[in-house]
Amino acid sequence: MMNLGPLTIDLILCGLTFGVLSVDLALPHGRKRALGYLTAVLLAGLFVVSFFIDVSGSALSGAYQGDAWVLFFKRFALVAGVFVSLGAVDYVDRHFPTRQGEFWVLMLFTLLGMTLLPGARDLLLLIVCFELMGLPLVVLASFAKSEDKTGPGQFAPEAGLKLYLVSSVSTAITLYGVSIIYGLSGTTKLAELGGVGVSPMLFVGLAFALAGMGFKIGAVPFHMWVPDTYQGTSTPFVSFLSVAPKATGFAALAAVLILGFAHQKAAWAPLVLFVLVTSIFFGNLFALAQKDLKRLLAYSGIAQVGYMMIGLLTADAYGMGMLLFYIAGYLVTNMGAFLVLHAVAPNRSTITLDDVRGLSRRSPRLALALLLFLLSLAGIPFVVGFWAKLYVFMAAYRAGYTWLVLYGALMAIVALFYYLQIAKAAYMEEPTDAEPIRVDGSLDAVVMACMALVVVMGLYPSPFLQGAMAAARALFG
Amino acid sequence: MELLHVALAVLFVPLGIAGLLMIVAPLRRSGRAAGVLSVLGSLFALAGSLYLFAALFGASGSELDRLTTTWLPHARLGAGRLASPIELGVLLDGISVSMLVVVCFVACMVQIFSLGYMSHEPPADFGRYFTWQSLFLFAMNTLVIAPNLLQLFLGWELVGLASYLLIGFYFRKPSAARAAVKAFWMTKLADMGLIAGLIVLFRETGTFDWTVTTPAATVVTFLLFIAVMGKSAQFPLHVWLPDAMEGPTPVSALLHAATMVAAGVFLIVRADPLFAQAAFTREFMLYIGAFTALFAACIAVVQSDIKKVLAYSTCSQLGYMVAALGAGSQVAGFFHLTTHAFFKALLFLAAGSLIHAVHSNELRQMGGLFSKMKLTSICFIVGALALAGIPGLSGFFSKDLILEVVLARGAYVPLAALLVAAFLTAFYMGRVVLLALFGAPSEAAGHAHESGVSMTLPLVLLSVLALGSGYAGAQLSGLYAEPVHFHLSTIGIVATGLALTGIAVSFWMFGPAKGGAAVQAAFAPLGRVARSGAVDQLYLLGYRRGLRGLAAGAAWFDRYMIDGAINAAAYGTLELGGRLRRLQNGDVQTYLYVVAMAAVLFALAGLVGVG
Amino acid sequence: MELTHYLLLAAALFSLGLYGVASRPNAVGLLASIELMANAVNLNLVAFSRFQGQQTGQIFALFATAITVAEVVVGLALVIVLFRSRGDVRLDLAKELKG
Repeated sequence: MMNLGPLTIDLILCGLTFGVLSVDLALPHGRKRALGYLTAVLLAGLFVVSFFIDVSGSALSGAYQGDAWVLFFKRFALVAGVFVSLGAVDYVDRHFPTRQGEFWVLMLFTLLGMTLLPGARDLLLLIVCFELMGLPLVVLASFAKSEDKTGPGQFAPEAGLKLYLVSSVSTAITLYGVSIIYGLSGTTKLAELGGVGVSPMLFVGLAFALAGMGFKIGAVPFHMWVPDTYQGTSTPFVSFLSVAPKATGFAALAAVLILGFAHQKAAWAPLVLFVLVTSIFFGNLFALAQKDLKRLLAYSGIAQVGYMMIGLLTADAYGMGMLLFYIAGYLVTNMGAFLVLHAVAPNRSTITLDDVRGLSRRSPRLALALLLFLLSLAGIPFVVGFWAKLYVFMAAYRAGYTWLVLYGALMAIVALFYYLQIAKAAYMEEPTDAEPIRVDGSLDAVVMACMALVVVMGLYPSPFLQGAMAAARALFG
Repeated sequence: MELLHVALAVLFVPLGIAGLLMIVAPLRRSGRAAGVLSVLGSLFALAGSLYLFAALFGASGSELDRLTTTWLPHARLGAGRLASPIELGVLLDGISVSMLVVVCFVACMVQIFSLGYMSHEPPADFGRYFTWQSLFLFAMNTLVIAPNLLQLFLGWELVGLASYLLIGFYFRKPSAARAAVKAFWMTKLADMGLIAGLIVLFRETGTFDWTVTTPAATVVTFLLFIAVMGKSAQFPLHVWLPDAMEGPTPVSALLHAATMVAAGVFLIVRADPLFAQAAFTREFMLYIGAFTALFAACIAVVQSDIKKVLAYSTCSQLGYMVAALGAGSQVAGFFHLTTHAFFKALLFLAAGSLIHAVHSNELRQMGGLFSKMKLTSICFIVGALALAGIPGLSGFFSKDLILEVVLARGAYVPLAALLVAAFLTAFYMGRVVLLALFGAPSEAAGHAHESGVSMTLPLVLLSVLALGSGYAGAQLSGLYAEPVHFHLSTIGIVATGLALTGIAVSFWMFGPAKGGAAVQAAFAPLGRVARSGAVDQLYLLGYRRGLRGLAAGAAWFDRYMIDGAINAAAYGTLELGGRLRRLQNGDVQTYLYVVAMAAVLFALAGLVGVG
Repeated sequence: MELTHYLLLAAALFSLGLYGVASRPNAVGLLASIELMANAVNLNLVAFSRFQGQQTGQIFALFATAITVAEVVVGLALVIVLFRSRGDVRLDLAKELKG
């Protein structure tokens, strides 16, 4: 009898996916909006269920592992899924009324990839999960019909194609790297990879393998698709794209670097350091010059990824715990920020500073939410982003990277400039269009939930920090 | 019912109401509904605190219960030095629960009173007022039930914020806005001491606990005391208090009688184990307190504004408390804090009722109000007698206790100052009562009539406590570590004699006979000094000559050196950002090229580095 | 034939693919280049598997093939979308999103 306990959540999710697919077949046109709500409810239910079942243990002959670390990522993906389905349901209903089923099923498939991947303890399974997550994302990014010239479809083909090409080339490079790693170690099991000594060939394999994961988290120099895709594709989807695949990318990086090659840290740490320093630098600098807010947040996200990678660099339980806390805070903050932008301009894929000018007069609540998200991204007390940055810096300090703390803090000041520029426009400038903003109910609820979480995690971070620490400790056994 | 649940409800119900009023704009703008909701919240808090208070008597020890939760884990101080996790929570013991009752009671009375007093405000302002009131109650309770100094500090700052909003309630009036800013800055300035004290404490002991033993106690407590001087308006940081009378009168009753200014004294009471380790700080407190008591009482004598008299009187009474704590008696200081809270709130609210009737703070505009507003007047007189320390009323017991402990300490100079202050207190209260309530009625006073029930009810309730709370002292003292015996002592008789003399003198000067013009003339120079605001002038001088000169220099340096550098850096960064953007040329093949080259270069770097 | 020969052939294929990816302006040509890279990977896997005398690499190659097929299917669909929206499949003209 095979032990499938660690895969319970994923198997249920797989079942739900096919369930939604069949419901889609049964629903008549005009009633398909229900699919979005159904997806949200099912995912939320699964999230609740995840607290009551035991998914720890080993499955598939050791190729799959379930523990607190894996569970963190599963729940992370489910929460992101709930948020995006509630945030996008109105958008999907208005723009793709007949194709809603496909949208949600693709969304569920990519979520399945995300919940599966962190538990993969075999390179082969890791790659398959990576693709299961990645391909639906490409389709979703170019989901808008290109005939829709003025609406969200205007840039969707280009945005999707760029994501696709960079994605598939990265995957090819990763696969090439993985094939070399396999050749050197003679196995694909992560736990057995570390037995191989440091050699130039191994380094080539590792560098190539990291390229694909660097692409998923959108780190420099694999980041160039990020702003173009974010700008061109629909905003509620971007809110998901900007957060969930990053977390999974970090899970994959942790699997390869920490579970696979912890002993070869000396070999890969300089690469990680290079990538994180350049990500923080270029992300912030590029963001300064942006007028398009989605591009701005895209570049800021590149910088944020740089901060998260500090946890990876330390490669200890404390640093990884802080990475998890950072990315959990980033989930609510960044999704919230993109969803506010979506609420401000629900029918366009391009959103500029003009759209948020005088937002406080058009919708005080959205303006307050946006302000809190921006403060959190900038790392101001007492919202979650502050603790996230503080603890990541503390991890860097503990690991002896004092200069990195100074560098990170300095770049955070640069970031303050562009974040506050948006806040200033929202609060201190006259609106170009004085019309009050009407927001779809479920979208509004998600934004408020994100805002509440940003505040709660900012005022009372302790349980979240401890949860993140416990999850990270599980990674190190 | 679980006590902690009650305590948490007492804490969070007002916050919930404040939050609700802040977020739901239509509810806030409705005015009346917002007020009623806020009053209900404060009534709930009062009921909860009374429940906790009742439980206190059934408990065996002084500590009822404690709930703490980790706020920040892993607060590490670097290599090897581990600090304990930073906690937030609820501590229920004799001190915190009694203080909770005092705060909730006064806040509740003030809110009920405000329903009447503020009824002429526009509904939106009315709602805003009660939003801040609820927020204030939450802030103050956070401070009161804090289990450590960090939470106390958080509450302290929240109180500062809420009081800023309340003092500046009439923000359209320039003087009120200025007063709010002044109060904010003066207390913030002093708060630097609190922050510095906490940092030193944490560095030395790795905790924010007030029960620790540390050689740094003197430094820590002295720094803490600086903050107390600001918050509790001790000389020379008292200058903001009289100006803060610009706020609505019920706000003065809340902030400057029972809660905000008492927070400073409460801090000392709370951190008594730390202060007990610091003889020097206590000595300093004793003298500062006694001097403030005397100094402020002198100024109060010559004020013509009824609220200013009460404001200086508050300064003076806070001086008593600080002196008592300086003499080493936690109970004496805290007991006076309690009784003072009741009778001073009563006085402020009764004064508010008078002001409401004549639309002026000036004593000249009042006069002869006793016949028009009997109930208010009787309440005011009760408060005045309690403040003056007439035997049988609450103020007598607590003041007597303070004098006793100072005497027992053998500190004769502060004792003398406090005795003179006691005489002056009776004198200026007699003066206010005679000028405002008796004598020839002014024109405005002729049209005055008694206030509505929402305003008189709190007065009556507070009067009962101003009369009776003194008798609770013996019971209360059982709640603390330090047992106190109440008995009529020699010093008590002397103080009573002085108080009666003070009243007699005021009657002689301002009573029907209007005698003693010579004495009045003798006080005139003092009046001039007081009105000129000597301490304010000193601050102004220091500000103009010292600070501004320094500021001008700093501004020059800032403008040409630092700004220049920052602007250059900012310009450079922006330029660089603009140029780098061209890399992102939109051509997907450039991106692919970069990805491919990066992978190859990484591999090459590895080959060179490893090989 | 030694393992090295297979590896060098695979490396050459991969480099050709990489070159094509960065230089072919035609979307279909670009997809073909990606195919070349994928086949280099497969060659590597099978060669390693053969010379180490175990099956993992061959199984991996099967999965890699399936992944590549799925990728190309999506890719061709995107190329069709691109063709519909602008009438050609030249990638160097699709650069409205930039900065």
